[in-house]
Amino acid sequence: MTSPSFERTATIVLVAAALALLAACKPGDQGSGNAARQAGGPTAGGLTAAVSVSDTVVGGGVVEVTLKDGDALVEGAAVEVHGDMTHAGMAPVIAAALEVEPGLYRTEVFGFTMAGDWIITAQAKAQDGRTAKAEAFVTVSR
Amino acid sequence: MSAPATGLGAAERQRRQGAFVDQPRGFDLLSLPGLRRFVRWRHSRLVMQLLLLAVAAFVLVDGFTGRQVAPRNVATTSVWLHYRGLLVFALAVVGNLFCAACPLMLTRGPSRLLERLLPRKLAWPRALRGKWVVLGITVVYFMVYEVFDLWASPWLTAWVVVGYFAAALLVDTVFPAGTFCRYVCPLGNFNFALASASPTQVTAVDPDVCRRCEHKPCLHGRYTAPEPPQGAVALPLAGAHAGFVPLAEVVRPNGTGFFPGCETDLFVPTITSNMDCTLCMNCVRACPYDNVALTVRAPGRELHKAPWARRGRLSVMAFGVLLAFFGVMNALAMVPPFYDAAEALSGWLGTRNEAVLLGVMYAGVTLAGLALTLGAAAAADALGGRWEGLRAAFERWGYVVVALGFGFWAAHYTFHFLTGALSIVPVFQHFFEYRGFAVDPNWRLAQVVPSRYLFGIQAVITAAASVLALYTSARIGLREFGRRGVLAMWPMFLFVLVFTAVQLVILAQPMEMRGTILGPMD
Repeated sequence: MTSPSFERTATIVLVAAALALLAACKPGDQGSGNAARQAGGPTAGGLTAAVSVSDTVVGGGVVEVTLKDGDALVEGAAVEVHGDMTHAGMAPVIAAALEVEPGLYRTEVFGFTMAGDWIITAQAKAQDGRTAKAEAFVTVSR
Repeated sequence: MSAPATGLGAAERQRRQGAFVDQPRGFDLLSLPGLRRFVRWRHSRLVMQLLLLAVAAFVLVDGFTGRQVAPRNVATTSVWLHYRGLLVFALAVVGNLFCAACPLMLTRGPSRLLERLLPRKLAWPRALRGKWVVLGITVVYFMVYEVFDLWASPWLTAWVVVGYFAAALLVDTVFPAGTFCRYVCPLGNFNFALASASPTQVTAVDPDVCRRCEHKPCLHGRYTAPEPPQGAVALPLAGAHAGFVPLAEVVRPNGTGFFPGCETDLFVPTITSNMDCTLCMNCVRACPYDNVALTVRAPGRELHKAPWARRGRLSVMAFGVLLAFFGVMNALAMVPPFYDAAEALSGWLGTRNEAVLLGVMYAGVTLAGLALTLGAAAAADALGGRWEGLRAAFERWGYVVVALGFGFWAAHYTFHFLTGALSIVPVFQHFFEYRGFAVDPNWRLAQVVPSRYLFGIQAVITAAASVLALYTSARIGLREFGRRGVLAMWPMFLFVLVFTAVQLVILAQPMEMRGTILGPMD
């Protein structure tokens, strides 16, 4: 039979451990911060993507994705760009980026639908089936 | 021995001979096929709670371990979009259904275990038995929502959910069950206040049955068995005042054992308001005479009947009224003029600290709203020819603002819901895709109706709430001031029209969703 003090101590320890576990599993904060930034990867088999966004105004937006395998530019990939607002439930903007130079893929008018914070995600699939993803965080103005 | 009826006052005679209070006498929703049987079933609430608990589990898993992009995460999408949108829809169409299915109350089991670790339950302090505490918590909650961009962070959203469960567990372990719902929970009290405009209310089918009722099980709970218990029965603390009702006396028996009564201290035949009613239906299950109805009434019927006079008065009214202005702030914080004002305020105060700026802006809108409400209410009382002070005027006319608040929150949340309700499909698809399942989310699913109709829908909701507010003003004026009420209602009419115009202007602005109220520094 356990004593009340043991039960009390055990309960406190369990609650503290559960909270510590939750606190420890904080994931990376992509998409949840305020500062403009961009990130490449993850990579698959050396394939890397980098994304840049310009003309960040409502109705505008040009997204460029550079795809490399090591230092070599990768041609002939399929690249799709998703734009998500930071608020849940807003319809994403989805566009294909077409190759304008070897290894450089561009959406023409991306078409930001609202001012505010956007997360741009580029997903590339090379002809050999390897994939790469890159993200950028931008603030779109009126 | 009771006094002869002829010697009683009119109110007392009515109380003893007819209804306890003025309750609606419309259609009983529970008379729909199968519904009463389901609600009387001992585990009916548990079934509904388990549904929301399952959603909460997805929220926690995806919030803590999923991709931290708000529109792609179950936590942010279900909490900030679907919960809020469906909440106002449920309030407008039925009532406080989300409190009815609240999974936080599943902490009752653990709290009963934890109770054993305490020497005794504490009583919630008498001084705090109003809505001041929850009003303070609500202000903090709205500020935290803006400052930390909770809507943009799945991780923080999951923590909010954890915090809610922990708070419910802690409060209802230390204090009597129901304390959390009534005095602490900002979501529940938000629902309580806005449910004043809902089209249903718990009522007594036959007040005479309640008058003859010995144990008041809807309030205190009941213990039922085929035979009276021999010796003491181990009941939960919530059943300390429960009476024994033999199984043979129960109309349409729904089992044996302990049936808890109302945790927020509502006695069914005296209910005049949805304030503090969680629609848990404990009363329906506990009533041995199957004498409780969920009655359909005119939306907002209670608003012109001073329903909160017996449940906290000033603090309840302050909560209801301020909710309307917090609604204004919540919507304002998404439109360009707000950001321009924030920039100007930042320059004026010499700080770019968001918490400070938001605090000042919240305080400004709140104080302006209170001042306008008090001004209109005082003018109405003055025109009505009776001056009993600002507080009396506020408590008399505040219901008008509550109706407007319902309209603002409903219009705002409906916008978000209709903008992205269908996104729940790809978000759940993504939940499984992210964890290695072969699912291809269809991200093109989002809007329910085309964008061009959204403002029209918001305007219709706004207009409906304004009509309700105008009607409430007129009824209060005529009730309180007789013929002079025709004069007294005009200041409130003007207030309603100005509020409505401001609301439409705000809702008509192009929306922005920024994680910061200030633009980048030059």
